Amino acid sequence: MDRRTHDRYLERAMWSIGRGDRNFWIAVVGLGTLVAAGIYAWIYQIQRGLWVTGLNQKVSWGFYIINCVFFIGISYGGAMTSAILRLTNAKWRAPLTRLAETTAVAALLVGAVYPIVDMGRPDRFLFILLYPQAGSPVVWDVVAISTYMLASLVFLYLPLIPDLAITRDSLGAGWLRRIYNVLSLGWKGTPGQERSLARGIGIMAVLIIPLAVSVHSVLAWLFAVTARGGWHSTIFAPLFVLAAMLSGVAAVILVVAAFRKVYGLHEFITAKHFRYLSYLLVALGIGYLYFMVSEYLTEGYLLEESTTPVLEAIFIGSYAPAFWSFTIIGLIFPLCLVALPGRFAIARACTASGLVIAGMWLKRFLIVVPGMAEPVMPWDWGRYSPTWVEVTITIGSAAAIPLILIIFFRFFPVMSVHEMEEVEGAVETPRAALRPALAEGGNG
Amino acid sequence: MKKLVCAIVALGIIGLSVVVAGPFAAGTRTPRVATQPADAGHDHGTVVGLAPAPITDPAATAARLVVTAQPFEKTERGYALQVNIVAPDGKPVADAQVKFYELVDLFGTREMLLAAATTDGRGAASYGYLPAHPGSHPLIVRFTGRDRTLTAGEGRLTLEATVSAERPAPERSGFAAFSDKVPYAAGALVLTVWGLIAFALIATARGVIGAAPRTSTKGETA
Amino acid sequence: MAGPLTRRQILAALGGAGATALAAGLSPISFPEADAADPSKPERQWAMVIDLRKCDGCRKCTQACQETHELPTNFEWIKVFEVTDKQGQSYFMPRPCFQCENAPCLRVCPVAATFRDSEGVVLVDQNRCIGCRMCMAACPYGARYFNYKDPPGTPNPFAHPTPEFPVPQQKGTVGKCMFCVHRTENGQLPACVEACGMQALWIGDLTTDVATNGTETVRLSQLIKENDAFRYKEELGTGPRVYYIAGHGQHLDL
Repeated sequence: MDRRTHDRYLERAMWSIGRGDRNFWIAVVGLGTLVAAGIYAWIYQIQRGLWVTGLNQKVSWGFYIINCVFFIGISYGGAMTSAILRLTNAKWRAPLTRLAETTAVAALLVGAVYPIVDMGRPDRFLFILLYPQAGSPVVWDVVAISTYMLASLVFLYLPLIPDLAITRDSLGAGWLRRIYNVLSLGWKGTPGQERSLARGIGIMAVLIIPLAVSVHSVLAWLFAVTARGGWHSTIFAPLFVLAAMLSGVAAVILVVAAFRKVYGLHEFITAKHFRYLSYLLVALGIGYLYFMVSEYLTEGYLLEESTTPVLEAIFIGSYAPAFWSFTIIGLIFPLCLVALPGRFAIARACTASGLVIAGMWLKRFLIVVPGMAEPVMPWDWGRYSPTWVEVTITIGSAAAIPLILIIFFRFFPVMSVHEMEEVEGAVETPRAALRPALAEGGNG
Repeated sequence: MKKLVCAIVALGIIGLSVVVAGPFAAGTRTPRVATQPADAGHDHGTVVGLAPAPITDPAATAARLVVTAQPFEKTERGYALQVNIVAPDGKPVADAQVKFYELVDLFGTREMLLAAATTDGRGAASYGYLPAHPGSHPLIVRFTGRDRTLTAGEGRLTLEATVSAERPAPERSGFAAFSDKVPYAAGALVLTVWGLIAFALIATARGVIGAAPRTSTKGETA
Repeated sequence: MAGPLTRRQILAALGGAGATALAAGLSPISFPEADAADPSKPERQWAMVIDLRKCDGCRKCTQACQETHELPTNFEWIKVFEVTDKQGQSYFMPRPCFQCENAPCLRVCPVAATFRDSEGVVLVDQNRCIGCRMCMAACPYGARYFNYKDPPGTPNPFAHPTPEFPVPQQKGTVGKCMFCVHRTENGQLPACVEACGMQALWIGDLTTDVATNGTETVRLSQLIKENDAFRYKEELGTGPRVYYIAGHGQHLDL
């Protein structure tokens, strides 16, 4: 990488810091309104009780549990992508890791709120810490999610340290500079510091994979340890893990594409990146398809009385439209779309990712709701249709992820500078050349 | 005449119940037979406190029921309850339907039906009884009567059982004892992971701070 | 050098906090011991036998239950299902909570709000319940009900609900049949047993091996054995304490 490209990279990575143009504020206000609507719906629900939702005695888990699994799944993909790229030392990772890691944290923050939204008595949330019953999958969830959240925050922070120093150095004196100075821990890029950082990131990259696996396994066991026909399946944990990776990689593709366009990263994030991510998507999608076939074949072959009604409902009954649109439009079609060679790799990857994400949400719906509505006393089916409260909270929470991302990147570089220098070899750059908007606006 | 006999019989039954069932009156939660003469000659080797209940015979026509209990040779089978029915004229009553009851305490004192039996040619009927728990078992054997000359009668016995059926075992597989310990292992694993995360963060921070050059002006002059 | 000390301290603090949390959480699942302390007064171990031959589906048990526990009409802690079997015959099947000895709902509760009392009845402490509804997902019999709303009727500020007398129900928590522990401990029959005009419901005690339907009293083990009583979904290994006496020769393993 020559010096000019290097400078361009730096300029682009820091471009968003402190920038407050009209588009930024339009985006913040727009997304913020959606989030506020979601928060309003949640407050409305807390004041009145869960009866304002579509949940009932038969189907007592609905959108909230689906969303919890869905958003934590997306988070998983971000963390996995970054960790795998680091561990395999993929040279092309530098512009992607920061976006992937931040997506992971943002989605996790959103997903981790859902168990509380779902609770009948959110005021008693701390009871889980005060009177934990180690045998409960809910406790496993709380332990696994909080551990994973801690880990992904550390995993986001450690590679950020050198970039914080770069940001600090580009700022004039001021309170913001002091904050960056503290956060960057006096980073100067000495060999000793590089060694410590590499070790820390190495530990976290290794750790984040089993942690992410554990979170999704535990989420799957929430369902699989029950005696319900559609849920009591040994393949559930790996199936959930793969589903999470699939939707997570798709989300990373979408996030990367969006930031590439809006933040002008075309030069550094190219069709090559999307092609590689698409390969990952295809591999995971085929894996998921395989797991799904394995699950439904073993259940559908024997036709036990506990599983048959669920299978009937999913394949030919009232949930069939959702199931077949997921399978064909949300899984097989997108995989073909990205697997085929040809032009428009980025557009195809984005279309496929959007379909996969929607499909994976639908699949979670098909796991949670028919499993719940299934007649445990074999004579009555439950029914579930969400009210505006659940829909609003869901939309608001989905809007929260891009909101968190654009606010985050107003303060931190959108691409990892240090990583790029590490991969490409550092180029001596006079840092004074960089003056992001924050330096000017922050002191004014 | 018929009414008179009925009245006498009814009075007799009331009298009997006052004498015998007095201790079982409502509110008494632990029924005990009041008259329990210490029988020195009785064999206490295998059975403790077996004593025939007193037999009162208020009506001249009432059947007399003598209830005895003997432990089976195979002690785990419990006790052989035997009732001998004797007519007022002293002859054994054959082919008589008798019912064995136990007085139990469940939402008040109730008569629990144990079994029905028919007497043989010697006027005896028996029932193999394995109590559910050791201790006192107030038993009643009833005969509803046959005709005007042989009216209803009952015999009582308080069985002090030492042998009883096994209590139903809790339905818990041995695996549960093992799986109860799994959370400890999982907890240890979680603690290790927390430690590793803390190490990655703290060691890196220490390394970065520790390796920072003392004179930190060079890079900041920009 | 202060560094290693700090690290060790932090690790120790982390470990300590974790260990405390785990120790608090690892209280073993409560289970009544087979031998009570005083053998002459053995503790009750409640069980129920439901005679499907007698049930006529009048739902008086459900009504009595709802009155006793001040429940709304869609809270059928004892729910009467009308079952049509594969031979086209239909019968009624009341379903209370089965008070499973190996209760799935009890094991999945994150805060141990569901517990088993010394008489083998699975109770819910609604002062503890966080309303996560994991137990409702875990119960294979759909016997649990979530209070989406406040119970009907005017709220009584002096009411003090306990697990043994959960009246009124608390909004945002889960409730279920509790074999009328508040009645049985005072020597009263459970409300449903008392209300059943067909004497189809028997309440029994496994320790003293007695069962009564209010009018008749029989030996519990005999009642189960002689009528070939079965337990619903016994293959799940939940160990229900509720037995059914099959009705009109129907096909039962629906």
